[in-house]
Amino acid sequence: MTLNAKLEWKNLLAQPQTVALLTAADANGEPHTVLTDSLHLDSDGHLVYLEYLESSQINKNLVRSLWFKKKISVTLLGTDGANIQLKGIPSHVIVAGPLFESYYRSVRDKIDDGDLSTVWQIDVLDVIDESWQIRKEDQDLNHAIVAHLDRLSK
Amino acid sequence: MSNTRASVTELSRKEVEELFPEVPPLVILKADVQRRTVRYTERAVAAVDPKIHQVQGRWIYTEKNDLSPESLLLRDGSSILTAPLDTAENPYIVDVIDGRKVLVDQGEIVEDVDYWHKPDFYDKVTSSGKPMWHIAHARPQRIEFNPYSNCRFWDNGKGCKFCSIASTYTKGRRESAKPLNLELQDISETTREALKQKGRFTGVFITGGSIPQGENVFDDEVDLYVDVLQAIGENFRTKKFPSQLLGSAFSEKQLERLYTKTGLMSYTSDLEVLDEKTFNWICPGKAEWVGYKEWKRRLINAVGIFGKGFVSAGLVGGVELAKPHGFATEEEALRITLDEAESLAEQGVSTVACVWVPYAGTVFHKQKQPSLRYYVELAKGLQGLRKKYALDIEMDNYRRCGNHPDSDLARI
Repeated sequence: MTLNAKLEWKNLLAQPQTVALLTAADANGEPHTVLTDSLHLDSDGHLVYLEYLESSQINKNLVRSLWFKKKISVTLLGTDGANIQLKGIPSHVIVAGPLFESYYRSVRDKIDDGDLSTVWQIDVLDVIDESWQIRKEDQDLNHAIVAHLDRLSK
Repeated sequence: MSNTRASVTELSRKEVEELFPEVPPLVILKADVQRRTVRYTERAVAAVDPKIHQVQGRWIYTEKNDLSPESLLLRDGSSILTAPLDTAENPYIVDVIDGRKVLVDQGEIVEDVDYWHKPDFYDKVTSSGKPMWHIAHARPQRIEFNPYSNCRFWDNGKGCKFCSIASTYTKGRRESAKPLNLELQDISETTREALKQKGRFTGVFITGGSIPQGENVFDDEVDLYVDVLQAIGENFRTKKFPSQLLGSAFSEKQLERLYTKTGLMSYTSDLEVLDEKTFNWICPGKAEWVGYKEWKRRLINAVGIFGKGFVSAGLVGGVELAKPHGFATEEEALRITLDEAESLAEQGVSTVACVWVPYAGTVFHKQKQPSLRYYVELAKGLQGLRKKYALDIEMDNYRRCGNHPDSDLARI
């Protein structure tokens, strides 16, 4: 990971314009991706995802990830071209208690007749800078042999 | 002697995890904790805050009013319904280590746990002056009413041999003037109060002891449940509300009445053991008033009224191995139980099992439970049948109940 990505992903996540995608796989390894507006950091610095629908595929896949320690990924896309991928494992499910009820009330305030299934806490294990410029510089530097020849022609 | 059938050949939890890598270790742990029960250390009890945590509970199988936690939550959000058992020789230890509430086994920290939170209504009182925790019992996401606290199968001594309803009622009546019935007004008021706590509850659960009396068998029990469900239903704007009734095996006419006159959405009737001979021995009252085959037929008929995925049969998992008339081996018990469960599943009835614990106050309190491996294979087998026959178990899953390792497996 680049130093910038390691430092910047939390800021990127906090930007309201940032697009966030969450991906987790099912028992067959088939990935499922959702666009989400609910990923955020809580006051203790945990990455938190709010799943609104109990019956959703992503909810099932996240349960599997927690149970079998399978990694999930989060992609964060900024308006300035920033593109950071997080890899992690869900560590805690919160479906009852004061914290859940606090999130539940906020979802009900935000979404007309909204519901909240699960508060997911995710341990972030890897941060990868996927920005185009960073990836290209890496390839040009470390994998120069894979370039198309015409790019190098006189 | 341990309360489990431990022997030199019994697999440890870790060995069972290795044998069944497709079964989540947290579900295996849950089954093992239910089977072996828990003991709370002084530190664990000191970590309870009665203003926040649930320590009191009045329900049909137990009454609790000490300062230990009512039960536990795992970090996957599922509950472990368990309580200390005086005769347990190898319970998990609930302790607080480095500020974490943890389950400890053989000196090793196994998992983090949390205590159940007390619902707001527990501190309220009905207009008739009764504490609301005497009216309804709470799990983390369900509210439960027990409108009849005894079981009339015991009238002639034919209650189920694993069941503590009658002894709990007798003890409660003697020690805390526990009433036999609840008042409808108290039920309605308690429901209204519970619904004020936004996000707390996802289901209403109603159960009580069997009442075979009436013009037709169980008419009195059905009358009671219709009244209770209507009292609860006063508080909902929709005709139907997420709910489960665990009752006796009702006739089609009785079930139609329950479905059309109330907001009830799902129905469970416990066969307890899936073998007629064992059923007759363990559940003589059920056998006398209805019989195994008829009980099963009534469950299947209920699917036509409530729909596929809204009817289930409960088992006391492992009691089929009770001595001396239960199955001789775990292999035989598993094969016959799953064969019978399949005959229900192919007709739309789901089967769920709890983990049998020979608690005090039951005829079987000196019996031994089967192995952890048995419970894991039973859970796996029952969920496998649901997959095979496309049966949902949302009515009785980890949120609405939390007492069935097999329905936990339906989460993925």
